[in-house]
Amino acid sequence: MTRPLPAATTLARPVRPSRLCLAVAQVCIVLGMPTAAGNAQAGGGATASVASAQTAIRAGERLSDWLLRNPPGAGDDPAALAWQVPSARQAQAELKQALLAQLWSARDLQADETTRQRLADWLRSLPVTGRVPLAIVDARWLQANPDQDPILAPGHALVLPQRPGTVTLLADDGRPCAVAHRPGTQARGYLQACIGEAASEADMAWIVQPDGRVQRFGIATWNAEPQSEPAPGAWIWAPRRSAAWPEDFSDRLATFLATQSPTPIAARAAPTQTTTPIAARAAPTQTGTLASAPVGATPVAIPPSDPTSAAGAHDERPIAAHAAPTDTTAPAPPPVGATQVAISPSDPVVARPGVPTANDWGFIGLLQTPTARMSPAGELRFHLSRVEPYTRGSVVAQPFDWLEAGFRYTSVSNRLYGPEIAGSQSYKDKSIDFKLRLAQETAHTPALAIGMTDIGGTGLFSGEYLVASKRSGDFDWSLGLGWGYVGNAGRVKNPFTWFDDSFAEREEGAGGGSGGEFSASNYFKGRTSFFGGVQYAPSDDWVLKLEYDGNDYQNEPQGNNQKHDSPFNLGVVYRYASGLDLTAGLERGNTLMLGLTLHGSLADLTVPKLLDPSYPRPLSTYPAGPTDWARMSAEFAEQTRWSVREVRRQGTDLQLVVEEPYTIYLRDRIDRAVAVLHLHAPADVRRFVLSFHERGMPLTDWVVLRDEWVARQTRYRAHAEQFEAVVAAEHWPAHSQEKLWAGPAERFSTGLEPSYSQSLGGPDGFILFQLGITAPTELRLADDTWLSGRANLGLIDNYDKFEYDGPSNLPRVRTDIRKYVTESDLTLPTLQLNHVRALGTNQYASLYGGYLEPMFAGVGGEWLYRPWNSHFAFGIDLNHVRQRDFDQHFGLRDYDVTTGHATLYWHTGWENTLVKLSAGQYLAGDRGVTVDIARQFDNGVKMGVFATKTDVSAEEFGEGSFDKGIYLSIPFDAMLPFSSARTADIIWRPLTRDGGAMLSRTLALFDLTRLRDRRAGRYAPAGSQAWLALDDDREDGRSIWGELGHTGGWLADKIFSPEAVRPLLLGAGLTGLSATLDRPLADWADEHQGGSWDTLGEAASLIPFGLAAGAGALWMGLADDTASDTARTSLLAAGWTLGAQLATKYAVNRARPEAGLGPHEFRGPGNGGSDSSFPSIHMGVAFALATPFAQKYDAPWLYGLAAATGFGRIQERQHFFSDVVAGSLMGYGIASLLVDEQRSRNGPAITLGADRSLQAHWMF
Amino acid sequence: MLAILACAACSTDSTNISRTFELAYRGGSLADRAAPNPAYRYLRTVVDGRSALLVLGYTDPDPATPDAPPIEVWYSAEGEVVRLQQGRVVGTSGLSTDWRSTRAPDAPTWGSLVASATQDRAAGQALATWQRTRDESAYRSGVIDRISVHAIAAPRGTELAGLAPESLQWFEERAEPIVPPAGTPGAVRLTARYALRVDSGAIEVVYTEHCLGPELCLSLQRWPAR
Repeated sequence: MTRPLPAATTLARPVRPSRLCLAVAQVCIVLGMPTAAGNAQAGGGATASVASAQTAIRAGERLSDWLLRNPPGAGDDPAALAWQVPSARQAQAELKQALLAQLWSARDLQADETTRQRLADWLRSLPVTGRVPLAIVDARWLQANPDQDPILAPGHALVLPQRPGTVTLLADDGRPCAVAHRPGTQARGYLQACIGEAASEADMAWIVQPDGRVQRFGIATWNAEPQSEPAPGAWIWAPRRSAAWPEDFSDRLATFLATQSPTPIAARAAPTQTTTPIAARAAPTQTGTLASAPVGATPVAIPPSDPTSAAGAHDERPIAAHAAPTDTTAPAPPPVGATQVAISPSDPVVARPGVPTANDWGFIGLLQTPTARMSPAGELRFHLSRVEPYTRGSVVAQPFDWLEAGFRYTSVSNRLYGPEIAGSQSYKDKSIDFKLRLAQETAHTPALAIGMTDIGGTGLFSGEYLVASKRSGDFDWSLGLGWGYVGNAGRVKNPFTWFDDSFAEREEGAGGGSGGEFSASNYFKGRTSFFGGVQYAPSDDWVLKLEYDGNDYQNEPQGNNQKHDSPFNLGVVYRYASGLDLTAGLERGNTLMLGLTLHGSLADLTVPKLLDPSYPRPLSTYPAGPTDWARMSAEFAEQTRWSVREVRRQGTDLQLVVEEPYTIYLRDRIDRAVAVLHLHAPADVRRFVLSFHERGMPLTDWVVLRDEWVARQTRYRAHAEQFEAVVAAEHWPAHSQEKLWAGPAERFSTGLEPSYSQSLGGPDGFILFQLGITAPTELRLADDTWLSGRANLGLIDNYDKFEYDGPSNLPRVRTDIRKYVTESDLTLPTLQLNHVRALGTNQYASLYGGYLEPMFAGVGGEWLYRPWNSHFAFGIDLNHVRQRDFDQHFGLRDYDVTTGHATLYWHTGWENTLVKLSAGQYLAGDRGVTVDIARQFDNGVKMGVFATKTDVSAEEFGEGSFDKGIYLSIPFDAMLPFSSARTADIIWRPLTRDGGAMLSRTLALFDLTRLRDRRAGRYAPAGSQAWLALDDDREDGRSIWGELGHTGGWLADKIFSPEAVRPLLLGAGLTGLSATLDRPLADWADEHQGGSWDTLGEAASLIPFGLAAGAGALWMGLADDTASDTARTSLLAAGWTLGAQLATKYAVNRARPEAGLGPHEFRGPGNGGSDSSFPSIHMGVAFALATPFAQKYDAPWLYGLAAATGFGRIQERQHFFSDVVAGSLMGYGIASLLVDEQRSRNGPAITLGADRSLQAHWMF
Repeated sequence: MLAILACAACSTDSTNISRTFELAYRGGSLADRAAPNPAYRYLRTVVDGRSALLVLGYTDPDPATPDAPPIEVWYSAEGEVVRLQQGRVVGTSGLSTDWRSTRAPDAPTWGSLVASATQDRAAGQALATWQRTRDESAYRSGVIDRISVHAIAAPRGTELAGLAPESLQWFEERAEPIVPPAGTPGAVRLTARYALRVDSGAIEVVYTEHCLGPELCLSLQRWPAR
């Protein structure tokens, strides 16, 4: 699915000022109004040079009215209309100061002083305009979209510039360069016109469009992407790589330029007179190549500022306007002296994106080999390929930008499944693969990925690989090293044999006797081979592939070797449609390959709601007269599908108790609700409180500030003037409220729906399915008690082929599936009585009994602790169930079991990922743990994976070894043209087995109470304004990998600096001194073994784990932001300490005390280094974790806690005293350095102001 | 549709499910069954096989040429704007591809074209050619097309509803990109077709097919069809 061109984004969030009294200034405006160039604070409020009653703003009129009175004329550029608002100036002034501060104080700026001075002078000369971007400057469109139509007020200004004929590039040496605009030219073309061949050194271009929007695009050969072209009047900032301007500086600069006029800025009289007039470039040579004239070589003087404008006012009109317009029907010709950009045919001005396509295995790659490329997060891919004798069907998902995972069925056409199982059916192998990106591509380094094939399966095709990919224009090159099946040709020696000879051999049947085992002892072992290739995308529709295969097909599983005439494979992909690729190739030099890929982004899934009632347009007026609450409630229900149970009034608050409100697009639904309320509620109501209840349990209140909400719906305002109109809050019980209305509860509901179920890849047939009708029914006995059930009638199926019953060594709690689906066409999957209750504020309980799922009936209950808006929740469910008869009617079988789990729910706050950890007893009586990890995208689609490991051995479990699966949850809101609260859940398990089987409960308190999390309101339809705005809410800053890289660089700088010599010598000295106690304390440990000493020792050794868990919880937001930042530092310190100490271990390789070789046994680098005694990782990590908190909160006792770890390590005879001392010093030292780094980032930047003032700036 | 079938927790609103099937399999003709308010003027527009109604909001003078025919401003229910001048699309706002600042001062009147169409002409010869400049959304500014208009026979496969194509006079405008030149991404040949009712000298453009870009083509018909 092709994504649209990136929407323009505002990169820097303005700091919201406190409410200031706006200066009541002269109402002003006009066409071509001059701005105050030298006065940074005046913005656009200077006197108008041309003002008339016609053009002047009338306070209180809308922009649309003003535009109708002053329609843009020939030569005007309405898209560039600047609306300047006083309230926006403070944030922009702060932005400007931040830029200046960064120019002078940022440690990571490499620009020389001259460049900084030039840029600073120029920035200082730019006014703070208070410009607020407008949506579409079309009076008639604004009239129909009042929420985008501002109301003009005193102090506002409008600047309607003439359309210039140029685009202005701000070079990274601080010099502006104006280039004639040429339609169809992208940023790189303008860059080449200004700086010639040096343009190839620029990786990113920030384009500030005339309408005030900022866009950022990759423009180098390695990262070129589809992009908007700069419009006339646009700014371009595209620093060269060597200039090393920090990305955040570029973001801020572009954001500030967006507040300026979209005209080339004339030279301003800066105090130092170092600014250079804009120089137009020389015309291209006759060969059509661009002249590479250096800056200023052939300057064409641009008229300087009017010297009479001492206050800095200057002619706002661009140079194009100085030339008389020649033809109102054609664009104004480029101004005299400006350069025509001549685009050479060979110039890569057309940016084509990288084209990730699937390989034979369904993963992004070439043909048989993978590449390091990834699809965008949210992509789902169905792939089918055939190359004799293998047919592969894959389902691959991209839950994160850096992780690709999927499952695959491989049919081996010349091998049977086994006559005792499946007659003549060919052999089917199931497997799970994944690929993980280790590093993103940069200008100089390739993208790097690591992957594994056929893990957790039979291991027939298991392999591992490391692969790198580098792009150059339309070519994408890859080179990798493969092990196992990926490197089956074995053309090179396994490099890991340098460390250990055991890497030379790979054990056969890596999946274990039953398959499904993760045979870690086999990873990166055995035959090894290089692989690689190139793909070339000459157009959007075609991709050519050439690869060097790492497999020679002479070591195939099942003895199935293939004739192999060439290691080179050749292929072509035709992109028939946006989500359909067709592939053909020639592999092994002799075999035809055909493939088909269906792919699309689930994260972009959306359908317009054509069947929803029309949205009631809010008016700025408030209703008068009495309210008909029944009518309001009916309209409310029609718009929202919510049931209003009560309407209450307390002062200026109107509270509605809403039942069963959950829907994925909650904010959208709330807006509809408020639109109805606003139409009906008395004018003196100032707040709406939507009190959401689920089954009678109050969960949360959503509070709406009516005036602010109405303002947002009916007019456009600057960001600084807006407040959050809709806020989620903890539910507060009603006090002294007047009940205005009570609505009836819906007691009975039923319906008819289609149903579908299927089983894939079984020996009886690849697809076994049933299509039918189901009737979900519910009878509510009270708000919190109801009877629910579902009857199902199968209509069409192929279950006559379903004969195979999988073997099992456990009670057959799931493997009788065949009997359950074939015994009867009419079934009763569920029929149960339910009761829920809120126990206080954060606790919830449920009881249920009946036919709980198709295979089991019984009774059960659940308790859940779920604080409001917490990252964590904890629940326990307990059930006693009995197996049902196969006909799914009312009979029961003999088998019964008590099953239940304790579950920890953790919303990680990272990529909107939820982790569930459940421990307990399963249906077959086995005990173990289930881990479920799911990521939910902004449109509500969820991708998840789960795995269960119990005390059942792999042999007992049977084929597959343990239970695992992948699931998708797709809200119907994303698929249907009407709003719905339901979801489609699709689960894939490679095998149905009895181990690790959980009861499928229809009533789960965590789902029922999902509105306890404020994040429930974050989801929006893909492509909507709310969905696009979610990007702005993302946390700024580096990824964890970026943080690691940055802190690693900082540590290296510090450790290898001259200042580090003294502390390093001191540490070495302390360690040496402590060695005198090695033997005495080792002897003491020998004498204090067993009993309570061991208990104390074990407990002390667990201290680092406790510290790590605590730091992790604080990082995730258990406390405040300060604690979270400190925890982040401590975790980074622990990571670096661990790495440094592992390296030291390998280098020193000291024998542990338990070896009995004494404290002086050092074996040097080599085998066994990982078990080295020196230094103590436990101590190092403990101090690394404790030090940032000890320093931040002045808590030296934390050092004592960390030091207690040493007792345990010595008592357990794992370390000598000097190991412990060395470990603690390393941990303390690394953590202290990182604390300094954090302080330097958050500390103030001191700058000298233009007025000789000393200024301190903090960045938050 | 497979998603619905795969669900075990589908909506209980069977009415909406049936309407969904209707939308999916009948091409979304809900707008055709709407009862227009006689107080307003409508355009029936079809985009990607789905019909909707636009309502006339304003008739504005041409800001560049006061003597030129007025510009009709049509609105969708979502507040999108389509501007027509003599049946030609001269501007849009709020669509996925917008046209703005469209100028074609040399575009011939339909009267002259109707008259020209009756004259003997070599097959395929254009009745007239002129130049059109415009801006497009996504910051494509200063786009110039050379347009040639041809009289054509009533075509098949249009979205015209309620009228016999043969009862109207058809013209086709072919736009050849000049700036940026063909081959540049986004510089595509666009085609527009017009169906005119010529009645006792009165000419009315009753049907327009117009592509704003390679991804967005729409048809516009005066509605209800008379």
